[in-house]
Amino acid sequence: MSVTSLNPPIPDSPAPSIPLVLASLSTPELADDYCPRRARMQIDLLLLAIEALVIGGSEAFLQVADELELRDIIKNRVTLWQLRSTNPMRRLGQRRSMTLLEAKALVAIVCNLAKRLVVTIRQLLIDYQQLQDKQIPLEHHLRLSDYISRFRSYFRARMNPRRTGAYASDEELQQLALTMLGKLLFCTGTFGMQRLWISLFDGEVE
Amino acid sequence: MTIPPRRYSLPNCTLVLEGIGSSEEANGIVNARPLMSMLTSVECQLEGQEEPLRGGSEFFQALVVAVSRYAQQVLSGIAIPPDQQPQSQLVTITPIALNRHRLVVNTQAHRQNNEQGSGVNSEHSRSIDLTTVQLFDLVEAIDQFLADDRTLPGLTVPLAPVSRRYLPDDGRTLERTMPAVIGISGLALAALACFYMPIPEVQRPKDPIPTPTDTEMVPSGITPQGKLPSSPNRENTGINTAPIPTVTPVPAAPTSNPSSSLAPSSKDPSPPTGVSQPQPINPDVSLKAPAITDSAKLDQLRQQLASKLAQEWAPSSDIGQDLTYQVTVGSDGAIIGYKPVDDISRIKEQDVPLLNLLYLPTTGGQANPEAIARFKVVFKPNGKLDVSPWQANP
Repeated sequence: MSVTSLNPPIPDSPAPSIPLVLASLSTPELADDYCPRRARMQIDLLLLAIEALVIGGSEAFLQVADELELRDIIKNRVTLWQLRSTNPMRRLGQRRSMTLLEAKALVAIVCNLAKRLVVTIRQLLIDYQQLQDKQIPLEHHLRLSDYISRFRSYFRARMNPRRTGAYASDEELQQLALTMLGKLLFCTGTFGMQRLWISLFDGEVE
Repeated sequence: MTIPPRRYSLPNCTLVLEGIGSSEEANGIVNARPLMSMLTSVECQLEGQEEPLRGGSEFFQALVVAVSRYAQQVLSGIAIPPDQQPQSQLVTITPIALNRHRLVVNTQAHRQNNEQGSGVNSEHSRSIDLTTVQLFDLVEAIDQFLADDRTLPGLTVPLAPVSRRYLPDDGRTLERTMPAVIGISGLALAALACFYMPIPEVQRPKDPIPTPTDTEMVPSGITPQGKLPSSPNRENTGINTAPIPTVTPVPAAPTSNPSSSLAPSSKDPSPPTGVSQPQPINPDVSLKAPAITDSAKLDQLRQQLASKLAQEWAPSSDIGQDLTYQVTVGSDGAIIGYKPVDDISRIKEQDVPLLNLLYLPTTGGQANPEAIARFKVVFKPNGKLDVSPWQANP
């Protein structure tokens, strides 16, 4: 009896298959398989903006991860928290980094939720423009001021003020909140997910 | 073959493409939507604009590239400098405020490039300010066109990250070099601080390594390292019958071990009676060693010895009379041996600091042969010291 017959060939173990939803995201040519610093910041801030837009946003992240069959990557609340804490601005920074696959999964979650919120996002941006044109303070718009104040308080609660030099004042955080709202709108487009993904590596490749 | 125009309609932007289809493709495949393979004209109606943007193939291509590129810039915040942008300057988009973007269509160039000029009615470049939502609708109209594989499948815009070389140097270099600068200056500061700290005094191990001649003074309970209890010398002492727990003399900490008083420690200078002293130095060595004859060197050594002794000697204790010693000094100034010249000097030896200053080599019981100089040292009752070359006073 030969040795090989003792060990029947094991059926090909399924290679770590990339979930279907992530297949359209190409892997950029980076030095390693980890997400650059600015990308980690961007992803966390987009998630933060979604949380500021809808109550229970953080619950929705895991729910969407389920729906998109990303639970192998984003296993639970702790994994999600750890990944978001790779944002270098966070108070409780993580030593572990974010892999490109994990970043892809989070990008898919951001874009999926942004698409569901597209009506709200559009309306807030249109209203903001109208308030600007009429020189009306944003505080007069309940929904918009609510979003901005929630964004601000989430940001201040979670970020280390010594690492967020550019976003210290109320005004600066309002600008950031509105910028993130605009970015979320671009995530809702036909190629929004691909565009967001590629934009994360702007300035990171040769 | 003329086919119906393609229309991509969004709340703030309507994009209409007119073109001709490829007949063979349409004949071959049964498809409700024939393939548009060539663009004849394009019309882009933006909300709030009376006149739509019109142009031909080149305008449309420039529009697609510029809009696609700008959408990425909105998401990343990183722009390619205008002079570095590879595509023509036919269509440009630049941010003007948080929620405002300026689309500029250079109709002058447009006219030159499209001699057939389908509807160009302005001599100047046309500038349109868009809100973020309006811009997004333009992006989305173009994305829907790009996603439509039945319309101009040859026109694609590959998405790619912006190269690092286009990054403006907005403090990134500083940001990257600051940690290194801080690290190096921190090291320099630490080095400076260390410079002003006193050099730690190295205490030479004071335990003399026992030589066969002084094993007799090893107190019971201490076995010199490397000595077997069965050595003949130890047999003579008669304390080796039982296995003795080995207490290895720790040379580095003589003061912490009270039983190591056999060492000529500065704390306990009284030598045990009947125990051989490291002094006087082995006369053979001294005799064999060449004497230093250079008078300048001798004078230097003499001064060195005098100042060394003066520092150590506290003449408060009453010595009564002159105490005279022959002191042997190595070429480096170390006191390698001394010998009292009379009985009173021998008795009062502990009142003078010679033993404290005696150099005890660590590798053996005696100094290596080297050039030496002998001096006569007289400790006087009035607290004065007299150091003179020995040869002068035989």
